[in-house]
Amino acid sequence: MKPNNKRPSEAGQFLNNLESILADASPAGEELAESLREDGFDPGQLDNDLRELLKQHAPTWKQKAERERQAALKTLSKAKAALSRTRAETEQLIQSTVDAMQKLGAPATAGAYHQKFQTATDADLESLLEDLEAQYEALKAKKSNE
Amino acid sequence: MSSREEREWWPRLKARAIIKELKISHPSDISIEDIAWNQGAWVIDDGVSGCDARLLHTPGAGMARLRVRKNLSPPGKRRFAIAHELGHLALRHRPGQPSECSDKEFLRWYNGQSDKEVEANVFAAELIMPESLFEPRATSTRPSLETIELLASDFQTTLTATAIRYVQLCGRKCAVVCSANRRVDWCWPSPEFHYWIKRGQELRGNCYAIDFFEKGPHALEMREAQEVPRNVWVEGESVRDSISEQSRPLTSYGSVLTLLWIA
Repeated sequence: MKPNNKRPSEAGQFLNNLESILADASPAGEELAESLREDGFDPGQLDNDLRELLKQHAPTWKQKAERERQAALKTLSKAKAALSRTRAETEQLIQSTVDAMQKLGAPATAGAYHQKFQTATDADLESLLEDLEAQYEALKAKKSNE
Repeated sequence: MSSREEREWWPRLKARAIIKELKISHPSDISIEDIAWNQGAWVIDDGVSGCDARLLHTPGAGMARLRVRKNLSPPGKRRFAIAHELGHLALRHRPGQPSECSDKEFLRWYNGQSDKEVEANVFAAELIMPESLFEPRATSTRPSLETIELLASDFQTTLTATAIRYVQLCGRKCAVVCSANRRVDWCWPSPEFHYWIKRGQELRGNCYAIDFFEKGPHALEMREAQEVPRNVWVEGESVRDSISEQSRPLTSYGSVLTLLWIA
């Protein structure tokens, strides 16, 4: 198990325990809830707030992935369709990006698996170029950090 | 270990490791986009229209980009497509050049494909229908297409992929058959089903699956479980023995999917 997956699980367990204590009708649970109310806290609200805090600071792998995906989506280029490039120009750019990546020492030519391939439309080539350029930038950044 | 078991062992193990690592314990935990992200692939629902899905990965260049055809449906098909491409990534397949998967025909999604495609499919099936979650649900009920439809709903998978997984894991004498143009297109038997249904075999007039081609996809007799003489489906078998048959139309493929089982 990766270490970063352990923390949320332990924190989640803590919250579950806290929730069961607060929901517990035994004197200890009632006592704790009453004590919180006396101090001006709503036990239910406190539990919700703690869960929200946990989601932000110690998210599960799924919450973390979802949050990062949503943030990444905002970086996607939306204006590509409006480009007035010819297909041949796009193909040329793809080739030169692949060449540039190889010069940076990419261990293999960027490989693409297609499922149920029919034909590469102009839009397919544009998105391929966009993806290649993103990977080229990532490679460049990595090289400059080395 | 047979050659099929040998080539399926590694992709299964890889998918199971992910299920274990992420502590997935219920079908609703299998959020395929989040699993992909966790494994280093960003699923983008746009940018491809000439294929269903495309994986672009350059080792050392950050997240792989997994493009999926916008509005690819049904959702089960989309999930399988993502899991399949993720299989190429997880199994470190290297296409070398932008290339196409040999998966031209979903209904022939398994047999006759290259090893890499077979491995990616095995990985995908294990990832979205993990044995540890699927098998207990499959073995606890008697065979029927209703059971398979329920499983497909739970796991958000297509009827075809679920039916294949079902016969793999249910532990009963059953088989799933896909027919097109009044002929058997393919057959997937369970390990316990020791009969041979030939590809290309013409559907007999007294089976119910043929109603799809003769009466249309709404034929009720085809949809209900029916007992037929076993030799209707299995050549050389006795007319006195019976086999149960139940079908569903796959209208968009012009095919019919049949579940056969022996009590």
